[in-house]
Amino acid sequence: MKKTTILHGIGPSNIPENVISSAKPVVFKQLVGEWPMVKAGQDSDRASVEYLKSFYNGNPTIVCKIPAENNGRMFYNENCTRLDYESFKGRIDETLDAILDGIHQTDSPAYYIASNIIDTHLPGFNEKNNLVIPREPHTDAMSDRVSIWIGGATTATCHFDALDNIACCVAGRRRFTLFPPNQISNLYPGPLEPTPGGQVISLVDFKNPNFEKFPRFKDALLTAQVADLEPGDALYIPSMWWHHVESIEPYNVLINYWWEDAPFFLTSGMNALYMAMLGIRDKSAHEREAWKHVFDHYIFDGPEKSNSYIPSDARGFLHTLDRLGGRKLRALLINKLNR
Amino acid sequence: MQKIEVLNNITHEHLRVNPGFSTALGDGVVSTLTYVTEFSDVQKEYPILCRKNPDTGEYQAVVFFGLQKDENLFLTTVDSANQRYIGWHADYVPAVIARGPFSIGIQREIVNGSEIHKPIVHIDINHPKAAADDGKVLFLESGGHSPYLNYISKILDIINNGIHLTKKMFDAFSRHQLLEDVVLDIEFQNQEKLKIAGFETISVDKLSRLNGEALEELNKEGFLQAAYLIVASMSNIRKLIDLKNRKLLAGDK
Repeated sequence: MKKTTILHGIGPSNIPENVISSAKPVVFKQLVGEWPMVKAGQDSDRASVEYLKSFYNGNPTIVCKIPAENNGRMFYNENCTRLDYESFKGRIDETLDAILDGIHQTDSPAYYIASNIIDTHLPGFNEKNNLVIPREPHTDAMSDRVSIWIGGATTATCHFDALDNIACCVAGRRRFTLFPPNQISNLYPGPLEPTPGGQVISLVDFKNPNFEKFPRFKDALLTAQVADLEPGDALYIPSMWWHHVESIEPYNVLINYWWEDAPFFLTSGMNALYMAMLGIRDKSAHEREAWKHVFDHYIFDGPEKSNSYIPSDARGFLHTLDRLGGRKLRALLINKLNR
Repeated sequence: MQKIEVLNNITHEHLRVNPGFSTALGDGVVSTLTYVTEFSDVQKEYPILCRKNPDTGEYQAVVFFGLQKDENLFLTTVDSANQRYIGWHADYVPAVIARGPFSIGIQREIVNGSEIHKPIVHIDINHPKAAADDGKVLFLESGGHSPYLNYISKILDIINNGIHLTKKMFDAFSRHQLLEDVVLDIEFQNQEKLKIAGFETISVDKLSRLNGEALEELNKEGFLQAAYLIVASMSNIRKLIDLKNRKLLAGDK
């Protein structure tokens, strides 16, 4: 499989702007190798755990407990109606201890804390372990979201996020398998809900693919690229790229930065998808075909295609939305859908 | 002077509405209209009496909060933590009062060549409860409906659906001649006397003599329960007298 491009010699405060605007995955070798968190882990897993614990404020979090027989894979039961692991409200320090305690035991469950916001649970950690995303300051955009991922040898099944992402391996090792957004059908996305982490996941078992059931997965593999991360390494995952994430060591920690340049008053693309299921998918084939053209015209080809020839005062929602436009459109939808 | 506007998330983005109750905010009233859609909540707290509107000749249901003009015995300046409403000591405030500055207006739209009437929320921005500095916001950050606005929408539905249903209810009561005059003779602990006349209520006697067919008809429409709720609510007159006696004893007229 193709390896993701690796860039050397870049530090946490000089990530080149053109790399993260390229919308192509890139590995930054030892981007955060100088972080105290990474240094602590070079001594021992125990030292890494103690370093994390020194910031923990005791707030509860959601912990996933994956039965030993799942081999760390977070997936579904037989008919995809339930998740095949349990989640409970727990503590970060106790989970860290449970992970270390389980290292030398056979048949112990795997623990996993996913995408926990750092500021709410580990205040002060970011100041000591910092990264600067080279973004143009955008008044209406959300600020970076920094999260921590802690777990044993677990697998987060292939999915995409609608946010740009820099993922920093700070303990253990992680292997990312990446697919471009156009591979969605070849990855056989599963149910819209329930999902392990709020995102639809691929139904293919990457360790043991069933090519009879999922033949197009072979085509997906032709486009795949792999990024292997060691402590200190980071990966830029462009938004919408599919990624399958294997945590390899018995103790693994990842810190990730999520950001989005779109203004906050826009809604998630998934809401537009649900709206289209309600409004378009179950209409006749020729109507659906026509709507493709309509969506190209108004949506996918950008605002100029549908508004450049209309006098400015008459454009209404055809204008790129500002905050007030967003409010008006939201009110219109709330009223139109309420019946 | 009222100034009614169609509520929207642009003009009223930052508007806050006072959710509390007090005389200064216009809640010092002895009675208000109530609707069958809220009888089950209203009858737990207040008496419901019926009367013919002298202007239209149509029956109305009226809920009482006191025993004389402008007397509202449920308003309080002491707010305890377990009290549901600010300034109002009861577990339910009737919709006509609870709606505050909001009302339902009808918007006419032409759809496929025929006129349809759509109920939409209006606000009187000159109402003393509108434009409060520390009140409830009506819209969320990006313009969606706040929990308070959703609550107000439910209150307005009670009124909007209630007008029609309550008219049907009184038609049924009249058909079965269930209403009879009621005169209340009240004597307070300080020997003051009060006579309240001009109202009607459900006659338990006539209700208990209805035949099976009439009972079935009333029951199917849901109005048999309404009749009993009105009967049950009458015990709250005792509650009003007790509240009033307590006030007289405390020397607070």
